[in-house]
Amino acid sequence: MKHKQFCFIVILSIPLLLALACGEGMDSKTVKPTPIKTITTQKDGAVMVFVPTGDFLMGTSDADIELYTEIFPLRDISRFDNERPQRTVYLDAFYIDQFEVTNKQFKQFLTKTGYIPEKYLDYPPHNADNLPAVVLEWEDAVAYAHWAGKRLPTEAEWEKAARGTDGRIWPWGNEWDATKLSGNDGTGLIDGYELTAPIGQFPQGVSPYGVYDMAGNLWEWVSDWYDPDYYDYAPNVNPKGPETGDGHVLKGGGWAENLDFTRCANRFGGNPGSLIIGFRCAMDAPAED
Amino acid sequence: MRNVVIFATLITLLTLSSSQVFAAGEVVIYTGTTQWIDKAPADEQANICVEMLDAAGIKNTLLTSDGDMDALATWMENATGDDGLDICVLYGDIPPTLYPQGNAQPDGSVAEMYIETTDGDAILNHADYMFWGLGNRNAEGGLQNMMDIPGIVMWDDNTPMIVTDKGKEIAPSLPEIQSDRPFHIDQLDGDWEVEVSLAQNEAGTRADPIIVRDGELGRLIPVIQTANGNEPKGAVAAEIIIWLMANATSVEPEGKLSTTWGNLKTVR
Repeated sequence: MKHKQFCFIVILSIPLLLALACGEGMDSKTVKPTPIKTITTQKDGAVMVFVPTGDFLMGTSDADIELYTEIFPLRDISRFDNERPQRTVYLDAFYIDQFEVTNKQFKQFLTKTGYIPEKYLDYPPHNADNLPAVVLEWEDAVAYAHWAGKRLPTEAEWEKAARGTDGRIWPWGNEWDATKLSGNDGTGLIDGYELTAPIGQFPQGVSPYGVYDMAGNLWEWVSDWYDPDYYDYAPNVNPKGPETGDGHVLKGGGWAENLDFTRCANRFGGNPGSLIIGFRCAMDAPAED
Repeated sequence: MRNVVIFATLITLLTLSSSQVFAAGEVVIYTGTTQWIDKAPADEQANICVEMLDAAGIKNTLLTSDGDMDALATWMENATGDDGLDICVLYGDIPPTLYPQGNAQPDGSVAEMYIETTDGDAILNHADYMFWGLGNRNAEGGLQNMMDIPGIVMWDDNTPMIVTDKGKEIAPSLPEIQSDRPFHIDQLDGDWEVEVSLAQNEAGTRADPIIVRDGELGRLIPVIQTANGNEPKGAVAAEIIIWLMANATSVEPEGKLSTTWGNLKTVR
């Protein structure tokens, strides 16, 4: 079986992560605490978090839009059209990297395979070992995932891992908190980091499944092609994106972003422009999980 | 006594005019490559700008194809040092013919030479990060090299911009926006200074739109740098250009002096 190539280090019911997932910052729309199981993949040494099978709320609801008109009064409401309608989506269980892929991991991939990336920022200050790898081409992220025996998450998997089942706005809940992510303004005055932060520095901003940095730090590639109208016709069971599209979907926002772009439902496609991008990997959960 | 004051005023104006007065120049608008705005809305906004400039009698050229990159560079080279205040409008991308990609020519590019004469020439940019370049050609280095300010960046998205009194006067079409790539006033250095801030955050550290100028040399004008926004970029750009052409230039130094003299005589 595919998963046998991994050395599974299963850690059940990590109390700390549960406390983080259910603690301060969450509001009434809170996911019921879920036992968290992790594994470590052999090739890249990445810790992966288990996300159980089941439904979750994907996209942006009418109620969210009303709220957004208050939070983002200067934004044209059409900005959120590509996130609508909100729908209940069923996903099979999967694993997702707990952290964004780091420079140390990405360089290990380059060294071992001789792969030459198209756009990887391998220069200071972006390339320190414990910083997330800035990988600006989707194909380079896919190549890494294949090497590691994994794949990029689908947009739906990414969003469920980020916001849990209850449709919350940010990974920690529905209240904006600038101290819970690497983001904001690029000054470092609020979050302590002028640019990207080393992975895992914001446990207070962890997702309901214990996944770090799902808001801020780097935008993240997912496997789906981007179609702004995809939610109008997407399947409600294990959606994998349109057949083709205008580039690939980006999620999560980066270190230079706040509020709007770091919402779990936010999706950016087409020409990413000056967005700073990284990624994390996912894999199917074996049936016995 | 009054005549003495008027004479002194004229001498002062004459002195100023000898070093600071420019001829009204031309405008070029390029939509051949765009970033953070699709080509169709960029063309739409560019045409709005063109109509307003035409109505104001300002000579302009619209280049809408990526095959126009060389023509754009030729325009810019011809506009450099021609004693006219010329303005180049970009929609989120700076073509490599103006600034070689990958920051391959950090100094002396066509674009940098253009803004380094006393013509006061300007580059006005919409949508994405100024000089970033399609496909991350230049990233942060583009702006830093063009301004010769190491470390200056244009991060800080979703920054609410409050229109200043001057902004209301210059650009009536300017709405309050959330800028995604505002200019960092607090990172200005060297001879660069704020000429006019049309909208800025409460702290006065971020601005969009803004006109910044390198002493007596050229200008950079970020205007509504937002991701996929549908703000009236074309109208606001036109209003800023019309204001700049009218207020930062004079058709002929002599003409300005005679007008001034005429006004003064009227006051008498």
